[in-house]
Amino acid sequence: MNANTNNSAAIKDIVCQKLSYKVHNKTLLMGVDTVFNAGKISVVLGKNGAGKSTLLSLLTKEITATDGSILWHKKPIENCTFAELALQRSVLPQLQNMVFSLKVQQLIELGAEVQQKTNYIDDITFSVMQVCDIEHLAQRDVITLSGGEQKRVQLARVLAQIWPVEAIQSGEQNPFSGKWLFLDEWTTSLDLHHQQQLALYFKKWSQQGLGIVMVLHDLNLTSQLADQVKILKQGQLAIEGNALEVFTEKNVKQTLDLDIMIKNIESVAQPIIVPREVLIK
Amino acid sequence: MNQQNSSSSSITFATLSLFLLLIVGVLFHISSGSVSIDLSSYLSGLNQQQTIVLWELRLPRLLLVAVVGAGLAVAGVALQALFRNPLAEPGLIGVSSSAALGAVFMIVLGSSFFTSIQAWQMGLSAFLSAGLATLFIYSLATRYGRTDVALMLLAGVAINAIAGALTQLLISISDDAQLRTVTFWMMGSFANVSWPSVIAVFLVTLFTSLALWRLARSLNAFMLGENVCLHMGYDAKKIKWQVMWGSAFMVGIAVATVGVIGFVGLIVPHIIRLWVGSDHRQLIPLSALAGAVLLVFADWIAKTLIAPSELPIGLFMALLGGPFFLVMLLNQRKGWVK
Repeated sequence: MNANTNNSAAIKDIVCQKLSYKVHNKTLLMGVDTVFNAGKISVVLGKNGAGKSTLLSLLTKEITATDGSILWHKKPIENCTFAELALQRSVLPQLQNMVFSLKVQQLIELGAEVQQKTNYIDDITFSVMQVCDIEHLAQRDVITLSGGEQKRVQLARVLAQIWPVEAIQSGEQNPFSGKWLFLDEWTTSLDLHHQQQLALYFKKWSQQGLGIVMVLHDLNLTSQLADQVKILKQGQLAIEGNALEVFTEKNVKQTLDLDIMIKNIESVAQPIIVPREVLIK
Repeated sequence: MNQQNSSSSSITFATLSLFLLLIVGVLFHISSGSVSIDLSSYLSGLNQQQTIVLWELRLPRLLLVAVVGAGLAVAGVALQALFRNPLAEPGLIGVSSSAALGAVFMIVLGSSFFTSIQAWQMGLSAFLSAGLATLFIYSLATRYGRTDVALMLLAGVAINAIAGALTQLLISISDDAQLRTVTFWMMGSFANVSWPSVIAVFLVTLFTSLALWRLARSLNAFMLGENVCLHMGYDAKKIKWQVMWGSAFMVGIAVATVGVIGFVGLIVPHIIRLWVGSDHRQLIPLSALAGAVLLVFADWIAKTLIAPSELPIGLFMALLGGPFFLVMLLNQRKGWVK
């Protein structure tokens, strides 16, 4: 199913083997076997409490699996140091509240500094602020921003951590090769304009080698973005594949407990998924 | 670019003004007291009495005041990064009173274990109980890397009450000599200091502050969240322990030497954050400097206000810090409405 024939890319995959996580005898994740391909957008779906965030925390080494293993670029993740991982992957958590006042630019610089390339900090900061459309906020205090603005600022900080400034400047074909981005519900409180704008960037970067793993709830955005869809149900991987394979009325009903209709609309690339309840009403 | 220059120039400005203030404070502090030593006598040479007063009383006290101020301010900064809240202060969350309990414990009961009680034993005991208190409050108020501020402050209230009660209990079973030692420093006083203790506090504060300063980058990340700290490549668990015990070390040794002095760790970091921002690379050294300034001035006022007798500096800082804390609470409440 995840046959990635390109061997050089496969080296940079993330492989989960029988991945399980338990706390206090409660199984949050059970026997997940899957591969996250480098340079692809993988979307993890599931109802609340299905284990999405647990899976993400395991992949980012926030928590350690109670059973099974993760191979990070062919290497067991427990053998990777935090410093090593920080240069290869960056994580946008679902919730983030700032307590201390910090200017937007300073916050993003904290992300950029992780790369320890002192000469490039200004370049990195400038690029990610442009991408996230927050240049006009550079000198504002993060605490005073709206929810959507804060989200963009945090995303900029996260991007700054892995922004391949040298590779881009030297015109490499796949500047993002070997890098990973983990996004937990990045669309929350973002307006649709910025959602679409960022979605386009994600597509572009994934084609340039960036592996993206995101947790989402929006099925249409998922079919627009995802190369691979993975649906979790009660801590287990219920189904995976590309959006067209996965999103059938039966599959969605079984895994997400949702009645849907799938409509093809002329001049829209992917079929539109509509919840049935809304139609009945 | 322009903005960056302006922020780095505001840091330079802050550093220079704090240094100036410190010099002014030092001059005021050192020239006040019952024996008058004016500027001309420094130039023309001090008489024997003046020399003794200067070297045995004023200089050690001045240095101790400055060092304790710096240490308490840095401990405040560190604890605030740990709890991710500007209200985390050694006095408010019960770290100082636990250190005091540890010290009193050593004064009153130490004689049953040791033949004589030295300053280092009091310091060690204060440090250990301060560290345990921090650990306790942290594990109580922080879950999944997020601190419940109300729980943190309430736990502080409880710990303050318990530590206070136990201290009283120890005092009630102490003999006269012990009682005098205990009451003497419980007020937080700089009136009686000796060179060896000054040097000990100086070394501990210097090295611990430098160690915490070296963690500045990771503290910046920790301020964004424990998980973010991990994501950015720092070992959050290790940093947590270093901050916990580092701040306890400075608070413990300060309390064991001069007693409980509250609010330094609250007032100083708050002002410095407003002035230069929350980057710990600047926040830590500037807070140390400002802490020294604050306590030098506070001690100068405490010893001159009702001269020839002295106001205990702990009392004075409580009078100053209490209202300050209330204003900060009101500001936090404003934040909720938004």
